Amino acid sequence: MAVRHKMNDHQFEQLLRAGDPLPNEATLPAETGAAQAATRAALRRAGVRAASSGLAAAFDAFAVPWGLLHVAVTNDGVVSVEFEAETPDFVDRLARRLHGRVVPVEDGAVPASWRDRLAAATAQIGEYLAGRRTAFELPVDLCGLSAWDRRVLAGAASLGFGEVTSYGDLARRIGKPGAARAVGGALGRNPVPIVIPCHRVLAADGTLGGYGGSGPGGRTAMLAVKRRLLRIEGAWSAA
Amino acid sequence: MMAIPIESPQRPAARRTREAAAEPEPAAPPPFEAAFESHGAEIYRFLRRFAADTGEAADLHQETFLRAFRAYGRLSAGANVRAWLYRIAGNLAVDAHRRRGRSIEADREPVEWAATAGDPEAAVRSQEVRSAVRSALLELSPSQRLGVAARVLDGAEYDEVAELLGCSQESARQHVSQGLRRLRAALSEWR
Repeated sequence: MAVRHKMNDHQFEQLLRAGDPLPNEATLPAETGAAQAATRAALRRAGVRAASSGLAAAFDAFAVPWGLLHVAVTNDGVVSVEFEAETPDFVDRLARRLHGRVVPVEDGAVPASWRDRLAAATAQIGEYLAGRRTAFELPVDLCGLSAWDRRVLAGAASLGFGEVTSYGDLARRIGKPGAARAVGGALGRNPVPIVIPCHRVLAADGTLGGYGGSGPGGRTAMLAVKRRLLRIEGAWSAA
Repeated sequence: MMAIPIESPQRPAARRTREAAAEPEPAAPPPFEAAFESHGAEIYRFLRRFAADTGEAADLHQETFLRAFRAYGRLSAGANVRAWLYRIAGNLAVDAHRRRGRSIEADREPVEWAATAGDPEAAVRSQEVRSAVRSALLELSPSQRLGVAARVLDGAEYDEVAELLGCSQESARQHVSQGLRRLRAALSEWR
């Protein structure tokens, strides 16, 4: 089968169709169904929610000394804590991350168990900020994060109240010495600051480093929050 | 003392804004799950054409949607989700083809002996034709490849090709005709 240059367009298209590399139309539907099912299962493992209810998270906002704190929970745990966010922006970001609806806690569609979880989360965060709590008893939902981000955040979660470390040291602790920069990136994507204490990770020279990634608060404001949290824990002196 | 949940004066205003913004002109992308359910099968068909075998097609299908899922939040409102999914799938198919190496056993498809009624030579030839067409298609630009596959192989109308490519019908025609020209050149050397 050689393509002759004399061949007209129509003939060439026919020849292409004869050589269509799509094999065996007869078995294709079954094959497609199997692939679709396997991919659906892989997506579930990666955190895609069933579209059934469409309701992904409930949130509440409360005042803290530096502004408004938004907290959201899903069926699996605390999924987002944000400083200084405008409510519509917060809702948009979270709805995109979870691919579902995000509603205020007063919404009638919110299950009672979510409401309880959200109440527990806001109460515990409040106690921590008031200096009356040193550890959180809350499940967290890291849905939508990469395996690396989860690994770094699990490392950060093991730091106790008042215990600080450096980006490089945390990299070593999680078995990736030399990945200080990537550790910093992952901490910047922490969706549940305070609850996962990424503020306990500082630059190697003991200065603050970064906080909140490219969060809505702006760098200076976010670093002020980090300093404030470290002061609560007695891990930051005026010096 | 500092963190007692209170009704913030910002909240009612914020909610009103959200409601007011509920009907902007460019539609937000559908939930990811819905995009997967609507386009998963056609993306598989597209990938199957360019994959070496069922296993590779299934792997590429998963990879396409996992990547899409990770990037989905960054899609802007009004984005053509379908065209975007095809682009991801097309890039992965080309990568897989390059990894595999063009020359080695370019086609792992079992030869359909039964279908050729005991004419092994014809069967082998049809295998060779397929793998030549597949390789030539994979050398095209993403828009040319998708355009030719949809228009020439699947018989789609140009309005649909344009939607798949996320371009005008006029550009869709150009992509298809340029793709056909390049295929002709590539396949004329082959015998």
